[in-house]
Amino acid sequence: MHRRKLWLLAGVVLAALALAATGSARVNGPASHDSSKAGTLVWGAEQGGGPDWCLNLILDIDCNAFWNVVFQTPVIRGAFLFTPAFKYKPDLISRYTLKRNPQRITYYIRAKAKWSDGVQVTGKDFRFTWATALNPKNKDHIDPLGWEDITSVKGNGKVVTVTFKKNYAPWKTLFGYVLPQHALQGTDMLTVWNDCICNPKKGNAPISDGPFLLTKFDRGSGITLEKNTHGWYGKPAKLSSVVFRFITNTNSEIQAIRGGEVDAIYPQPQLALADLKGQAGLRIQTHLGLQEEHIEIQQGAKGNPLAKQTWLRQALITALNRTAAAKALYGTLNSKIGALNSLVRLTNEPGYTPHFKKWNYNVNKVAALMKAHNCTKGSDGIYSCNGTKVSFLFESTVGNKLRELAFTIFQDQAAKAGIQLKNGFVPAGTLFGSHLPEHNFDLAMFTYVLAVDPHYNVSIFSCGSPGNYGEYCNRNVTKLLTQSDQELNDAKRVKLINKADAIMANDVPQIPLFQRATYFVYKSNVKGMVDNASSQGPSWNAESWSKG
Amino acid sequence: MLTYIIRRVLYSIPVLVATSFLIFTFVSISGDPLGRLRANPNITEQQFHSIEHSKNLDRPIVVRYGYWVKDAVTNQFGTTLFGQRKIWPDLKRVMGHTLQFVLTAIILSVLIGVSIGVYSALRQYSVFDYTTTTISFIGFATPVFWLALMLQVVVVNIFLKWHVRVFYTSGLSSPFPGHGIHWFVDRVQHLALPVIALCILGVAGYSRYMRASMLEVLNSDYVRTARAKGLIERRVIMKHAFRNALIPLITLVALDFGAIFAGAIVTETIFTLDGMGFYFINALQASDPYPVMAWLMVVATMVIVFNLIADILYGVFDPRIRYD
Repeated sequence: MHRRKLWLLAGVVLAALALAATGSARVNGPASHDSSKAGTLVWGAEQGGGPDWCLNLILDIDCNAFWNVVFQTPVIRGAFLFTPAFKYKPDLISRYTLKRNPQRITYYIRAKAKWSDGVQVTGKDFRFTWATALNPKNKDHIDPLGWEDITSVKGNGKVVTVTFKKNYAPWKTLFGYVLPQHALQGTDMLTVWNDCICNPKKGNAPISDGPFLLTKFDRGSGITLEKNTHGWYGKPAKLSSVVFRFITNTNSEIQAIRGGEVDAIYPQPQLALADLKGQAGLRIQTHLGLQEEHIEIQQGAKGNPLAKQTWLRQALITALNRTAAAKALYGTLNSKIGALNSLVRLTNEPGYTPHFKKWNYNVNKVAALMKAHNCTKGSDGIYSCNGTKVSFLFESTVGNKLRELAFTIFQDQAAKAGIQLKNGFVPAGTLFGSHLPEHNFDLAMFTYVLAVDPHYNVSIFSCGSPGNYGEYCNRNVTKLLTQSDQELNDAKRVKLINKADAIMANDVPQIPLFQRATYFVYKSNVKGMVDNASSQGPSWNAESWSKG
Repeated sequence: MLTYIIRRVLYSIPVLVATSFLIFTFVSISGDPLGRLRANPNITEQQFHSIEHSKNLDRPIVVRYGYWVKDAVTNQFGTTLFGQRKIWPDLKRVMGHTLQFVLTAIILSVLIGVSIGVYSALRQYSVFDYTTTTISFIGFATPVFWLALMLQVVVVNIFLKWHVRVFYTSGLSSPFPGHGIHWFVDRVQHLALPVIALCILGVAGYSRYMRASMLEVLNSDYVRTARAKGLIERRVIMKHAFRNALIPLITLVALDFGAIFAGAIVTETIFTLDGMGFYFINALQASDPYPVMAWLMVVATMVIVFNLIADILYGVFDPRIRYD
């Protein structure tokens, strides 16, 4: 009898659970579901919440990650914002003036810029941010680039003047994240914002000078932003909250948006995403982003000796049909994708000049170059020049399907032109941890996640720079790039960079391939979403989002 | 028995020390914790070396191991390499989440698997036996990542066709799960798919194991004797056969309990569950040896402890075994 009762009880509990699980979840349609209540937008975020994840973006060495910028753009504002047109737009400031010799920037902070606790955003916050960046205690956690060139930050009110030791062209990248001095002065910056964006002096109450407050960080699960009801300088947010759920698996992200569990996703481009194109109730925006795929050519002692010859590198780029490869890899996701023809500017950046366009796929031209240098074809169809086979070990990161496909395409194209590419895929840790910094490779295909500011070119192409993995050295290029980093006139700066690119288009130190496309998917009842393919990410206008 | 337990615990200490050193060495040499800094063109060589030095990464592995042991013992596994985040509170959190669904999956798997196994043994070579055997082999052969993805697709397709949300495809809970019964139902809806995925594999294993064990017992002399004594079949099965057939399964389940703490790496990753497996993968992807080490030590300790428990249980349930 006792046992029967037990079974009966278990049956009732199970039945109740099953009923609750199915019955309570009955909803009206894919566009509106229970978890995403009205006024709340739920995102699927591909990164975030790992053991190392920290929120304090000023600690750029520790905490810098694309999704961290996405989470916090609506919370902590900077002097400038990157627009979808890859341009700087004054954000926390209404305007600025620039004076030379010495370089002096005067920022005019918006009169309405204030923190959520009512304290005004002032020059004190700018000075505190600068002091934090140069605090010796933080030296291994913050990149001092640019900060150490500042001699003074003056002004306690709404006008703040920043003076530099010498001209520093990328100055707009500084103060991209301005800290609240009144909340953080005297705290341990290395830990204070690990789990919150808050005021430790007021019981860790969330603090913001943007349209939202970061009210909850469930490590491993998600981040919740709630409307900053105390006001900020811009228009009030239309949504009451934005929830970022960490869904780090792209296939799960796809199912989550298909099934209406999230309202928007911004995944890494993958072929599986093409399936979402046909689904009713979803909208897709795709643009060319800041991720530049390229092939690095080792020209130093550890590479193939033939790669030191400019003509051979020219032959190599001519043997690869970059446009066809780009279309084959990303054409289904973004029909506009094609070859990138500059090493210094991206196609959607101001000043893009396609210097590498002259290197089109041409097997006959490769043959002519080889013949002109007395190279002969072997029985396997591969050229040899002065006894050295034109054969390269082609390295990239193992496990990346798109790169494996790209290699197969390039291998086939190059073989038709008499150049052998051998598969040398290695784990990412090996490629980035040892082979690249030790200059120990022939060819390496990987992505540069570039910044909107072109300063990165100095590190990548200057003679002897640690970031110059291919050991390319052209003194004229180095000189032009160094000059560009000190040129305060944007137009002249781009001109100098393009001059360097014109030289490099002849030297072919690297082979630019294509920009990876962004893929922004959201429900059609969500309004105001505009993709921002720059490093600012899609949350740049979070205050304008709404749900119909 | 007590002597045996003390001896086993003492044996475990050098095993743990050796395990921790091997793990530390392999984790340290398998990836570059500063790889992401190397890939950053803005980090200068000088800065890089300064960071490397500050985190003791320029020292020999043995010295680094010493620092790690000190941190593990005196500071609850210390902090992460970047972000200065304490490791132990995170581990405690994810262990709780993993226990919720892996424990449920094991309990359900055992209940269903044992029932199927016993019935298959009693009806050997029947249609039921052949059917469950076939299904079990399919369950064995099905990769969990594929099964998990298929379950997600099926649930989403049900939602798209009938607008009924039976289960969720990822996460532990909805952004606003509510309280009380609402929270519970929401959690059940989120954990159902990973539990089903794990159950299918678990049931396949336990049912085969139970069937084999039951068949062995059913053909033993003491069962034949019990029948010859005129006992009713139900009593023969339940008291004499089933109880004895459970003994090897109990030890197997005890070992599986130890493995619970490792989480289900693939399942947790696909369903984005904030559990032990997902934590491990995140730490590994960040190439941060310290949370990886902490995770491995917790799992290794649990495996050793539950191995011990399995051995003890064996002695308790099988009167023929004595450890004195």
